[in-house]
Amino acid sequence: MNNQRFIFFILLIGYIFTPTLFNWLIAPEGSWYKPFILWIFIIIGAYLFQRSQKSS
Amino acid sequence: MTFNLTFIALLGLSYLFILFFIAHAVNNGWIPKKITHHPATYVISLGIFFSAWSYYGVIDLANQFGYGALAYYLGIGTFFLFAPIIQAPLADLCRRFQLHSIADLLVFRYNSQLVGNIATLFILLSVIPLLIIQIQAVADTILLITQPLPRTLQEGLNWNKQRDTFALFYCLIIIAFCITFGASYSHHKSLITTMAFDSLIKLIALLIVGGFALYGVFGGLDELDIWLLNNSEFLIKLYNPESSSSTHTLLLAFIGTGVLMPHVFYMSQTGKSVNQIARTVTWAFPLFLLLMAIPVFPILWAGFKLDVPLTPTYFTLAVPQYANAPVITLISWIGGLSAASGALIVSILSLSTMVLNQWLLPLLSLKNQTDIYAQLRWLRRLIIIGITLASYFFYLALDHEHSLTKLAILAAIQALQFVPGIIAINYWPGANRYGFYAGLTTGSLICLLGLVIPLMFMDFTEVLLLAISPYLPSNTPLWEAITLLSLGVNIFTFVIVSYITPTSNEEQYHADICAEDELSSPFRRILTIKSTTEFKEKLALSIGKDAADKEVNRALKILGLKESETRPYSLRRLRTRIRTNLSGLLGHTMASEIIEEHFPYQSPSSTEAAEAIDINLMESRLDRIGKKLHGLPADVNRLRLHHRNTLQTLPIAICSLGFDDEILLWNDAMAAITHVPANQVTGSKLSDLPKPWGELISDFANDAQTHTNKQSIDQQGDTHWFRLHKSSLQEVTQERTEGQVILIEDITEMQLLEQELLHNTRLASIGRLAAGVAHEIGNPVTGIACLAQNLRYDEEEDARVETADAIVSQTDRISRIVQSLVTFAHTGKSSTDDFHKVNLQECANEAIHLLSLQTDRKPIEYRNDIDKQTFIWGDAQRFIQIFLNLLGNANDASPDFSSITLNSRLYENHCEIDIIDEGSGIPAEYLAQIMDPFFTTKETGKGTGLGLSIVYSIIKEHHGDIQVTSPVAQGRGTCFTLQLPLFKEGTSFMSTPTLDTEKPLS
Repeated sequence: MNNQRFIFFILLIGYIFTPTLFNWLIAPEGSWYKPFILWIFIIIGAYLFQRSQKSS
Repeated sequence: MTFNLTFIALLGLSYLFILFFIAHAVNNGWIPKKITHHPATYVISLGIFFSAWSYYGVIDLANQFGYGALAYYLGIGTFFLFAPIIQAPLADLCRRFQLHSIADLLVFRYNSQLVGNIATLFILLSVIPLLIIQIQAVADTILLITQPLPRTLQEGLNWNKQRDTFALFYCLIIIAFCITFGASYSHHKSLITTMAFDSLIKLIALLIVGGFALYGVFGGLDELDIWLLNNSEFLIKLYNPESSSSTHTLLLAFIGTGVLMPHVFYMSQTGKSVNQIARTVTWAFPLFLLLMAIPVFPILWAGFKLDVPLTPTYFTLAVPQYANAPVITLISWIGGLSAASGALIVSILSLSTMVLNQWLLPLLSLKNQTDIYAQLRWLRRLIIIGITLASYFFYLALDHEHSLTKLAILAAIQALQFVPGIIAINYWPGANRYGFYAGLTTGSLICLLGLVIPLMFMDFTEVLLLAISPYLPSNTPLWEAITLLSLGVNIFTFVIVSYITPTSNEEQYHADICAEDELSSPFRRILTIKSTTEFKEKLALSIGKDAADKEVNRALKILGLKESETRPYSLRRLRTRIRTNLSGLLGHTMASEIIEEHFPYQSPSSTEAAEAIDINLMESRLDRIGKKLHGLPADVNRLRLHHRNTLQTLPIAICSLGFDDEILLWNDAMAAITHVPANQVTGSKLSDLPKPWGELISDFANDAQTHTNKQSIDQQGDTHWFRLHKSSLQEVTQERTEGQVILIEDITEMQLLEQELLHNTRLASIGRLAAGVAHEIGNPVTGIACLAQNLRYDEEEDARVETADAIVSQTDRISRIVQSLVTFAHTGKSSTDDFHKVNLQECANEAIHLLSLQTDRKPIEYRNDIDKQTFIWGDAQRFIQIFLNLLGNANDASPDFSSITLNSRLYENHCEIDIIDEGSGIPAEYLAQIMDPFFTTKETGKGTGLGLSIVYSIIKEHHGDIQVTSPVAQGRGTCFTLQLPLFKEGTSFMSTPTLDTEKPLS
């Protein structure tokens, strides 16, 4: 059985925040590599999440 | 700066040779498994997604869309970031059912060959632009680094001619690689390792070029910032690109690409360890993407800084070339070659699988083939050649007019049309094949009319734009409008048609399996096949004898079953496994056709048969997915396991039967009683049980009685008694019987106790009778003795005195007999509290005396050599009984005129008494059982079988032990050895030490 509620939750979060996040990312303020720094944070988050999943 | 063509050709060939070498090395085991099986190898191999377009074309995308180009990476990154949710269920499905292509997956889900045919067609349409990109990129880049740019028309024509020749050679080399290493599934691991190497080269090359652009062209990050400030038009383009409104549509298209492009699917879905490393992929692949994305903007800006006279598409190669860095230019070119080769090889192999399984095999007959594997290999090779050459001709037909970016977006949008159908696989069991046909066809038609035809005929674009422009939002590019329109119509049609058209039961079953909701309907069907040999014979009709033998044996090995297997449940599992294996070999459609033709299920004969649930299958599936459950389903599963364990470990033997007498449950106690393990009988018919259980349980199951009286069964020479009970299993809601549960009660112990009790009661009666008789006889005998003595004293005549002496002597004898009877009658009344000092020699003498009174005694000599000082704690009467039993048995077994010897050995704390006869001995097979109650080898009526068991229990009561040795010497004789704790002055029985190993004192 799939945990579909979780998927819907993620989709909802994505729908709400993606445009804002994207606009913030491509806003002219800051360095040109700003999106890549955020990207690194996402990777670290994913790594920590999967590690906690594995240990549980 | 240009290079010599021969040098470049040799360099390219060397690189491709290295790919060949790596694949060959993996196949031959030259590369350690630590590397080939490492998750990092798998993750990096996924980098083949980054084709030549990702290497070259993405620079142009960045030029057009600024930061919007990152949508390409974000789309794929999202797909992998959520791999455990999006990818793992699909991968799991593909591995379980051996689905080797996206078309096979769709055929499986929608249970229709037509779905496979259509999907293959549209996938070909969406992948061919991708193949063209690779060929075009390789041919273009060879020209760019070997020839100066054409200045005249004639130079331009020669340029194109040379490019086409390079493209052809490149295609031929790719064909050679695919045929050698991709035509067989057994080479899959070598392909993954090779592609990992390929991806790594591409990544390193791009990072080197990016680093060169940043530090070689600009001089560092700060210098780049200054340059950007001085050239603000590039910053403006970065944040406000030419096509800003299209960013979200690009993201959408590339998410679809991540799920659907067959080369990604091929790698991610057929690898064995996808599920295990799905979590690693969630962060490792986005990291790979990040490394691929970072160099993009520096390369783009470096190209503009150097005023490269080329389209940004080839800046990755042109930046080092125009900055006069020959080594980096060559590295960059190799990176591009690796990107194109990896994507091309995997895409061609994936397409060849689809075309073979979906188009060719359903048309071809594979009968009478002795080597089906070779035939499949050759077919795949032909398809590989066909697809590669077709791509080359399409490349020629497009005549180099179109940019890589345009072709890549076209492929992504066409691939996007599969998204609704694919998402429904895991997340919408309500979708059906008609919805899928309708959605995919309408979406693809819109794509074709709006994008593909305008690509070929520019006039058509103008007509189309004119027709639809009133309906388009302002500033919306045509491709974006067509993308959204095609996807929207696709989804709408898919949903509506799925709702209004009926779904067959079979399709619904597959839909439930795909949604992992399969537990709702695992019906138990009855197979017509009864043995594995039959499987081989029938399968041979379709795929040849050798292949049939190999496939059935492979399936048996995977399932851990024997060739002699006949259990219905096992045969059903074998059928499913063969179907799965054939699906991997021939595709789902062919596999299903062969299985349905040769191994059909019987039509259900009743409602019970039609709706019987396969409990074993349901349990095995629940066991498999149990850990994935959360919340209420997890609680229900835990409850199930609790009840299952309760039944399994219940100390009462239970088996549960289906309506057709198939064994569904066989608990531990049942296995212990019957000596038949659960895994041997679960899923088999009652009649298949070994004797005598099959007959016993089967007769009872089909009898009207719900209980039986004692049923005796001989097990390994022993008789055991059982009582059987049964009850019907009522289906809760439908008020029908779905089987029965049978309970078997082992009452052997109770039966033995009952018999022992009866025997003891009889003995007690005899004892009481003996005591009474002794008392009654004792008085007259005493009178006779007194009178005889008087007579002896009164008479003087010798003859009468002699007679009186004889009478006195005989009455003495009668008195001793009476005394012995009284003694025996008292046996069994004492407890350990009554234990006192007992002389074993005297006890033995008493027993010998009693035995000598038997009327049918044999002429046997008893030699009592027991030490007079052998004193123990105990009850003398019980020891007399022990000696009576042991000597009686020895007497029965001994031949006439033989002797029975009793001797003793004294130790510090215990003694050992041997009773040795010269009889025939005890057969070895009986030695283990002689102490069991009621075990006797004597004729019926001559022995109760209780003697030795009473001896054993009395000895144990006295903290002793008894051992038997037979034969003693020269194949004859038996020796019973009693070990008993010695009597010690000033101690009690309870304080006697336990038996231990000691040296004898005498």
